[in-house]
Amino acid sequence: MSVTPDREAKLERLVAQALGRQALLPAPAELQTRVLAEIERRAQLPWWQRRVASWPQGMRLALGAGAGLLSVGALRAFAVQLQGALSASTAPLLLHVRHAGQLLLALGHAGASLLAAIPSQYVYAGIALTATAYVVVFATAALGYRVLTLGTPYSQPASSR
Amino acid sequence: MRAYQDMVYSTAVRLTGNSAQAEDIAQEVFLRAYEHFANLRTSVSAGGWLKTVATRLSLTHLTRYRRRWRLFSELEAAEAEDESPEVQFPATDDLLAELTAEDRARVVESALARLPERQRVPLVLFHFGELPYEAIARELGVSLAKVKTDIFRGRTALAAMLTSAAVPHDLTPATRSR
Repeated sequence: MSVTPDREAKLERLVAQALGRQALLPAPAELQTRVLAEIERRAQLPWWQRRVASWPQGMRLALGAGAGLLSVGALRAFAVQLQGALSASTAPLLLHVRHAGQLLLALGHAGASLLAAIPSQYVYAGIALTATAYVVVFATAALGYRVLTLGTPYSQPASSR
Repeated sequence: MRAYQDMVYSTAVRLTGNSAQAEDIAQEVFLRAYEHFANLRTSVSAGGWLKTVATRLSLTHLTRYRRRWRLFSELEAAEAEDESPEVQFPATDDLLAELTAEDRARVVESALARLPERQRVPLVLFHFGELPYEAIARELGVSLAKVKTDIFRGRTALAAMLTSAAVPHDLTPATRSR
């Protein structure tokens, strides 16, 4: 796009002048009727079908208290269940979990030792290779999307909608 | 509501380019205003509040129905860089000097509605919403460079449409008789 600043400024001025003279578009005559009808319809709804914010204050308080009680009850029930689950009958399972943890820890130590033994240039090369592969996959997906999906600019012109 | 309905509707219709969608958006704006009526009735900035809500709802509407990935849209927009038509500027400083005020208004609105969304939306936000480039980029969630490019292309396309519409033989007989 080779456009001189003078030309760009003139274009901006001309367009600003053309648009600046535009009056507001008249809203459809039925807009006000539609709005009032919708307000009326919403006013007719029973309170429990309206937004919670517009519920009677007592009901909102009751809802908050009920939700709070329910949450506390659920947490307590969960705690009781958990306590039961951690009883002596589950001790062997806990032993396995502990062994699995120790195994993971040992693997972690081994991995760290292995990493320390690898020359740093190999590590950087691996990172670069992974990044390149990621970019290639991403670009392929983008190309596929554009070829298969996009036939037009990212929006249809308004007049064709 | 009467005092602001044209402003709200104009904002929505120029952003969406669709009168039916604009009417729905305008209705929603006034319903929200009704919910905030206690605050708005005494506010001196009620008009600004309504315009902001109309703009936000229009942009949300456009985003919701866009259904395309923005990144790819930007890639495509970059490819279409050479599509901007060359504009022959008129000798005067008025693109539509030949037309009557009524024809001028109709031609401008029609040309605006024919612009692609990616050009129309930032152009409308800049010229009608009076937002700076940076604010438009923030509102649309795109880069500043893209906003500037799209607005420039929008101006170029709009000027080309207006220039061609300003030539008397381009007017239809029906238009001339108005």
